[in-house]
Amino acid sequence: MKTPLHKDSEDDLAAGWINRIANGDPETLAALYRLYHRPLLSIYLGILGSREAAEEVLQDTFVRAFHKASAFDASRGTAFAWLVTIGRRLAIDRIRRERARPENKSLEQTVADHVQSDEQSGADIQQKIEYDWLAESMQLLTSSQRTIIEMAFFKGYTHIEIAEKLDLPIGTVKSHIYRGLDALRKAHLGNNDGY
Amino acid sequence: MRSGKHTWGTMMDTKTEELAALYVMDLLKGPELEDFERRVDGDEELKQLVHQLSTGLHAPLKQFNGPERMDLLEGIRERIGLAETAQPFKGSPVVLLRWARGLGIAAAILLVLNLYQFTNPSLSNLETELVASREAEMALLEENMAMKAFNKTWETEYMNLAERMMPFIGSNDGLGEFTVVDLIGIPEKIDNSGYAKSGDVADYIISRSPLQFASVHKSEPQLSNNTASMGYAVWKADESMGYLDLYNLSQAGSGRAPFLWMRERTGGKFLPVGYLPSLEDGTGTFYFEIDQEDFRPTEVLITEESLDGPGDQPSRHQMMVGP
Repeated sequence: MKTPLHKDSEDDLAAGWINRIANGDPETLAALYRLYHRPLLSIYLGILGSREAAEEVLQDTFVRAFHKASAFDASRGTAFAWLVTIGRRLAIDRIRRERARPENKSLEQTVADHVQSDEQSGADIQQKIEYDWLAESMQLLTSSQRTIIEMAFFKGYTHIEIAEKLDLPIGTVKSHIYRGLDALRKAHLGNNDGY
Repeated sequence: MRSGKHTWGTMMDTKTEELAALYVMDLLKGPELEDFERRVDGDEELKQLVHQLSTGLHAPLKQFNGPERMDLLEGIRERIGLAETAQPFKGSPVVLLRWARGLGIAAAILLVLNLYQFTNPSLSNLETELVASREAEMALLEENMAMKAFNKTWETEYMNLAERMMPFIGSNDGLGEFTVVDLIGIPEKIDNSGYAKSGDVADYIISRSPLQFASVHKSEPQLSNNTASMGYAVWKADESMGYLDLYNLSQAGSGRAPFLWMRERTGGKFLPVGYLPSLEDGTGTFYFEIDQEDFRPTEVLITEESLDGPGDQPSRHQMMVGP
């Protein structure tokens, strides 16, 4: 039988909505937003550390998705992954712009400042939940894989920057990234027969 | 080449795998990115690797569930020029009931056949096949219904539905393999103010997909003043099709939506069917199918379920039960 929330079907549904947007049916954007805005907002908050900034990025993400819907290719990844990538680029750009300002704060300091600001307003609670979850899910990875993937995904470092910061050969960083993603892939496949 | 790497049909070299991972992490730039994307376009195996790595990374992230912020949607709509021309979505994010035009016709047949059998259980398939004309069918239906001590309002409603669906009836419809379950609203829910709202994603899916039955019709005017929460379900076992007619279903709580369950016998496990499409004033008729052979439900239940997905069993928040 069909189960109501089969993940493949959800992905197909979301991909269909994006295709409809691309074909001139803008109303499906709202459906896409409802389905994914909560996890996306959490991810962007995890990257930016600021709820206000995360909300702006979330809105920018859907505006950009609306205008770039025809560029979506479901064969390379899910609709959710595509949206994550759009917003993540926006978030990373925002962090890099902050870093490039006259005070020339380091990336770590920028992130730390955001976190500090949100801690003062109490908005870090959600973020803590997310990082707790992340820590749990990352048990699949070795410490090195986890560190490198977190640096790349959540902090916006390139593999070259990671290699410099960790004083590792670039080839080693690439290898850790692949092996980490491969571990996540295998775990996902194991939980989704017929994927 | 790394030993033991037999995941893919042809051996994929380590450099390609690492490039795929960098691509998924959005770490490839410039010519390297363009070159890799060209390779992906021409290599189904590589495309599959990229897809799987991406899904492995992002699927867990999908579990993040921050607070609902539908208020931010309006700002997006304004920026893309949609704010004044269309209605925002509300409600269920995913509906996987398969609603089909063919089912609509089949279920319309079912309903009227239901009326025949309900009103005259001795009517055989052969006898029904011999009914010569639409007028004769209507006359027989009216006669049979008159013999049954129906509630007057429901009788009127049944007649109106039958008349509406008569054009679909053919001479040989394979009668008999259906189950009818009457539903009643749970009292505490009936007293809730408001009804389920229209315009949610489910409604959207129904109205836009070419595979979906578009005319979710409202109840007849005779019942429009009836505020009782009630309905009935018809199930055609030999085709695994169902028909659901609801009136005045109360509104689900915030972040929740009505969800249909069925089971074959008391004490057995309820089968999750799916979220209901949005209803105007809690009233509407639907068609659905379930891919399960020989399923013969005897109990129908509508509960409030979280939009994040139902559990293995119905929640305690019952909205309608039957019988």
